[in-house]
Amino acid sequence: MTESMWKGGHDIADRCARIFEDNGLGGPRNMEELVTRVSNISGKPVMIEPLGDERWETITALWVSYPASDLVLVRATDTHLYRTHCILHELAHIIYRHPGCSDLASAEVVQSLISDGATVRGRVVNPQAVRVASERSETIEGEAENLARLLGRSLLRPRYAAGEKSFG
Amino acid sequence: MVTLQTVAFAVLCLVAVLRVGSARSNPHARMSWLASVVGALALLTLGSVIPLGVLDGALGGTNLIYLVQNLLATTAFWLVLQAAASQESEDTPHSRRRYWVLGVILVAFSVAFLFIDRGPTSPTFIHDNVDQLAAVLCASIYLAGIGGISLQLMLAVRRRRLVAYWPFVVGGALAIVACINEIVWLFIAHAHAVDARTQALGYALFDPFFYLGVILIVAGILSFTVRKWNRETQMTLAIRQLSRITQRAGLTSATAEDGPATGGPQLSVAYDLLISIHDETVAGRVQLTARERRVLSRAEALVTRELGMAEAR
Repeated sequence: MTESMWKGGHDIADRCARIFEDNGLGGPRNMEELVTRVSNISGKPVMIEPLGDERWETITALWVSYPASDLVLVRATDTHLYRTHCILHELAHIIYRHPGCSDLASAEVVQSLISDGATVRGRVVNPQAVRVASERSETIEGEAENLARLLGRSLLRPRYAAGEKSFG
Repeated sequence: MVTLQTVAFAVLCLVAVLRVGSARSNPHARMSWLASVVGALALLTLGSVIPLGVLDGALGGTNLIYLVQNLLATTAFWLVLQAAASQESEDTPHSRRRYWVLGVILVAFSVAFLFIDRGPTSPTFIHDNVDQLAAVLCASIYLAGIGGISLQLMLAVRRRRLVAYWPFVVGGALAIVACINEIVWLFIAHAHAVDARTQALGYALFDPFFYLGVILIVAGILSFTVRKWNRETQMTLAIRQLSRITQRAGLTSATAEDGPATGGPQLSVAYDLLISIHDETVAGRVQLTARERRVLSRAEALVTRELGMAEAR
């Protein structure tokens, strides 16, 4: 059985559940409302841009944190669902107020984006075995991935959820 | 129009039976399920399934069945309204006020009914006694109540997507037209303003409008049941196919612990499987076959359709 890419465990799950609850993240009904909520939490506008492509290789999304705004970049070539999840992963970093990642800052695709004291963190889908990241960084990524899945679940509502609840 | 009454009764019985499981597992669905049961009982009192003489005979043979029919029909319409309105809010002052509205309507036409000098069982009991103001008032209050509830039903769903809720809107409108028509012709008959043939034509308009309205509202309820079943069946198949891919590739699906699953656990499982397969593909640990890519694409379309597309309020 292949090892999971993301660090998990009860500690991470409990923290995610608490953050989800404390920030009222079950309220937003679509991505637009969620981004607004995240922006309110961080106190900075959050912009999302589909930009990258397969040249990003195993980087599926990036969060660039500027002093006055947050920018989330995703690979335009990925499917809508996968892109959405990768955005949720980066939004989770913003909600958690995670620090930037120095390892990723040296990557070629990232360098052009960093200016004026910006920090960067990316969703990199390398198996844990080949990663060189620290234990702390693995935990941070695990937290973001776990929260992203909670956010994804809360956005997954049947189109006629209210009708189905009463009449289904 | 016995045929339409029988069809409406059959449809309501079918809906009540089909939704037993849903009503048992989902408390929110009980109100509308109860509406179909009470509605079916109301239609049963019309005599198209069991002879009216048998039913009213059991109650003494003095047309008491007409009052029972009105009580059941009004309650059924009110329950549908409550189910639709509960989508807006679980317990608002508005929904509490509706209990009073129901109570006032039921008491009002019941009191009027008691003042009718009733004869032996008749399928046209009110029309036979239209000379009595109490009979006209009893029927008019009942019909005004049904019309008012239908109007509230239309208002309750007015902000929802018409593509799903049009049966409630059209059904409610037909019921209102039927009620207004009947009230007008009852007063015309009370005043002896037209000849018997014209009067009969006026009365005849009630059934097609009213029962088609009822059938449409019930069809609206059933459409949500069918929609849910259809999605769950498709999702079950998709999960089975996606699980075959993860098993073949020996993947551990990263799954969040218990959390919000607004669309039910199936959507969440499918979502987690899809993301894991994508991750593994990007990481180069899994090579999908052409068939597996098609499975992935179909499952993804199914889940994407539900993502962040919740009903507009």
